[in-house]
Amino acid sequence: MSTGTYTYTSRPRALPCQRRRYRDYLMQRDEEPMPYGNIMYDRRVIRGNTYALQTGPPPGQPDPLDAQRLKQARRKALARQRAQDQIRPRTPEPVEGRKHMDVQTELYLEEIADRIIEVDMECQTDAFLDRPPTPLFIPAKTGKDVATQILEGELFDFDLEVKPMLEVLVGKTIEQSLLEVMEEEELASLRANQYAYEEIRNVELAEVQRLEEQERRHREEKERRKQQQWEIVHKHNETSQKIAARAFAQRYLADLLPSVFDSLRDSGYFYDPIERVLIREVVEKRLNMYELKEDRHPSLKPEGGLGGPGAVSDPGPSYESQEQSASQIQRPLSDRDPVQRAPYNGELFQEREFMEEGELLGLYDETEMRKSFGKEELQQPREASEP
Amino acid sequence: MPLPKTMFCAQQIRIPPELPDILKQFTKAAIRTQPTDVLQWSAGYFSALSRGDPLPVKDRIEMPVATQKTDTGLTQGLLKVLHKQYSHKQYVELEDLEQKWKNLCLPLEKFAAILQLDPCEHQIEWIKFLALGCSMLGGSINSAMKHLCEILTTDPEGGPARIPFETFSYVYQYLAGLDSDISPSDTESYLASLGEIVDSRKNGTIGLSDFFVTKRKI
Repeated sequence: MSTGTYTYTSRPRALPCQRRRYRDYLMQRDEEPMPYGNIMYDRRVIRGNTYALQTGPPPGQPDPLDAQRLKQARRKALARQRAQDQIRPRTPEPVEGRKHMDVQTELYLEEIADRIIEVDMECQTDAFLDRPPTPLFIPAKTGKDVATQILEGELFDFDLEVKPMLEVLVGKTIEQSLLEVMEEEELASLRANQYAYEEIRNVELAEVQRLEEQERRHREEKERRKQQQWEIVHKHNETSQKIAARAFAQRYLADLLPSVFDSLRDSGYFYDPIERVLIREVVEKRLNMYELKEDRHPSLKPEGGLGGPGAVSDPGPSYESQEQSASQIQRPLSDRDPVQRAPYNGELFQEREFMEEGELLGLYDETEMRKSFGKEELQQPREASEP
Repeated sequence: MPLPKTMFCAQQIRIPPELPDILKQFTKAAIRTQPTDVLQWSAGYFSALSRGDPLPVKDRIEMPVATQKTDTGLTQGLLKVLHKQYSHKQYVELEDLEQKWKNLCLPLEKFAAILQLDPCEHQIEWIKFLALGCSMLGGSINSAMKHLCEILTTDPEGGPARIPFETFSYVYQYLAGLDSDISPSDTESYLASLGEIVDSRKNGTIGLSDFFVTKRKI
């Protein structure tokens, strides 16, 4: 039913004032109830204990009558009082022809009207104005104002005041600069010493290097010389060896050339072509004759001279042809053969024997044997021995 | 900010922030240079500083040798200072040089004496003056060349003091020319022999060790 809080709003309105300014005529207004009264003296308000309250109304009806009578009596008394109050000396009635006028006797005249002059006034507060700050509380000045004058130089003496400052400034400056100079000096002298030392060291190092270089060069030179010398000796040895070998070889092979030529001549590589032709013809003739003879005497044993030639003839033909060719070659060399034929015929057989030996041996080592026996001389008699 | 008209307390005194640094540099320079007349030298120092010239300050502190008080007062360090101030110029005016000489608190008679060796009008070639100063330091031409090498070199101190060979030969010829004892042929042969050593090194500079035998040993 009820929605929580009770609210009541009404538009503000000016209440019409019912209050009169002045007292009206008394008696006429008697019946009207007093518009106000003092609550302390109101009979309707019960005072005192409520639990011991006498019940007024139950005694009944006479009470309301009594009450009415009492009220009336009281009213009358009041009215009498009021009347007595009002019956005061009043101003006399106006003289004939005159009228009493009400006059204001105050200092300032005031317009009297029943209707109070109402003026509508509006007032408005500024929107959103902050509460202005509280004005500073400046306490009321108390005490006495006194003035004084200070002349220049009385409060402050520059020289005096600046002295401690100067002391510090100059003293500290000197001290600090002295320290710094000493430090720098120390560092600089250290550095100078260092450089000087380095200089000396460099110089000595250079000297050492130079000496080392020299030493190395000497050593190399020595090595080179030794090497050279060794090479020379070596070459010398080699040369002497070569010479020795050469000498030996020369001696060893001294007979080579003659022996080679001998053997060649023996083998018949040198020959006089004319002679060859002639001899060939002779040999062919002889051969033919031999063949004829053999055909006629085949039983003849080749013991002696024939045997020799015969025995020899088996390996002989080849040998003979070989001999022939060799001897043919050798022919041109032996120019003296035809001259020597005749004296060698006497020693025919011996020499033939030798020859056989030589021939047999010559089969194995022609060159040597020819060389040693001087075969060309033997060949001629052999050639001569062969008919 | 200028000082307020009236100052009321010590805290109002204001020290310029650059002042301590300037003071320190000045003090260090003074300690290192050890001038005999500090005021004179300070005037020279600050005027050079304001002009932006090289400062008349020795690089290393040089303990004043006892004989110097009676002698020329000229030391290798002072010559180095002068050289630092003048190395960028080839010719120097005599008045300027005299002023700087005074700033270093060196006696003027010696200045005149140096100039007497090689008279000139208003300007002198700086390298010649330096050479003459070096010859005043040491007795012989060799020691003069040694001082010259040590002054002119860009190598760190104590190291091989190397200078270009042309400079060396120019100065040597100049000094030998002034000295009547040395004949031109000797000069030529000496320079030729040194030139061979220099050429073998292929950087065109000649060092102290080439012509001056040091007696120091490790």
